Amino acid sequence: MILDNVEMYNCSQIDTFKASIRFENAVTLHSSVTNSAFHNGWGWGANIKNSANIHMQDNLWFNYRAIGVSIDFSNNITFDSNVIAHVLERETIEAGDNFVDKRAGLTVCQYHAPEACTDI
Amino acid sequence: MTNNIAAGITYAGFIAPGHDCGDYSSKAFKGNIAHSVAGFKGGHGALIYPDPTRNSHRDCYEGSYFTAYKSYYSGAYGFYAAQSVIFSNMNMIDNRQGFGACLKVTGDPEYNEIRIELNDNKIYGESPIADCPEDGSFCKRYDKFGVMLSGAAYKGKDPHITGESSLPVHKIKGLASWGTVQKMHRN
Repeated sequence: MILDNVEMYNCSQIDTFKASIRFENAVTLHSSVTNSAFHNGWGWGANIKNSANIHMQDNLWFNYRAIGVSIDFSNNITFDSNVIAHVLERETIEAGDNFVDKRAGLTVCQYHAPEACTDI
Repeated sequence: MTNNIAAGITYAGFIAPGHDCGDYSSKAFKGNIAHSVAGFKGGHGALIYPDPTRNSHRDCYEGSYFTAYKSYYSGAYGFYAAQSVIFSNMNMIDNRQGFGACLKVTGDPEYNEIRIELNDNKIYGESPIADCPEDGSFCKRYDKFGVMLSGAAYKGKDPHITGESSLPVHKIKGLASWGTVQKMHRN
């Protein structure tokens, strides 16, 4: 998949891993996402999982919840010159007193536990 | 993972692996900037951990060439299992609790040297960007410091913490090790 100069907004599903842009099990061909803007979503900004050979450069993620961009179980991912901004706490969690949500702008190979990633 | 910016983030701007000690050609995490990071018991520009796929990181891992400003806690921090950690060539500006690293000790290293180094970093105090708006409409003034002194303990932290009692990240929850040495050069 080649995505260049694209705007996406109002995407991603709240309280799920269904991010504005997802790569799952995308391991065959090369993909690139460049010069694009993803904003005002309801959940995660981007989720790259079990995938390989992805190039992300000069993109923006703005206004997401709990996780801006997550990379997990993946290989040969390039993430260069991107901006991730305004990633806030979720407001939908009702959990026990001691529970704290997992949160970050960019999280690399740690969301689901220590994971095997190479060439990130 | 190079030249990215994370701004206005909750908990941590980046949760990213370090590189081999001394390998400054690595692009694992380089040239990134984080600012304005806060959130519930969070606020670290980057949490830099040893890459579990690299055996050498059990002995030593390094985070370098990173910039953070206006973080509620530390600009860069780590509290993970390794024998040595180096944070180098970083720019730490106007972070409330500076930056630093702790280590989780593994095995029986009580009297082995556990080394924490902060080298060649630039640490700035107040930046020209004011904490408070000129009209005084809201304001949070904090005591700040540039470097958080470090140590090693028998319990570390996960990069993603889900128990409130383990937060903030730098809160030590285990017994300390006698063998810890912290060195700071050319900062």
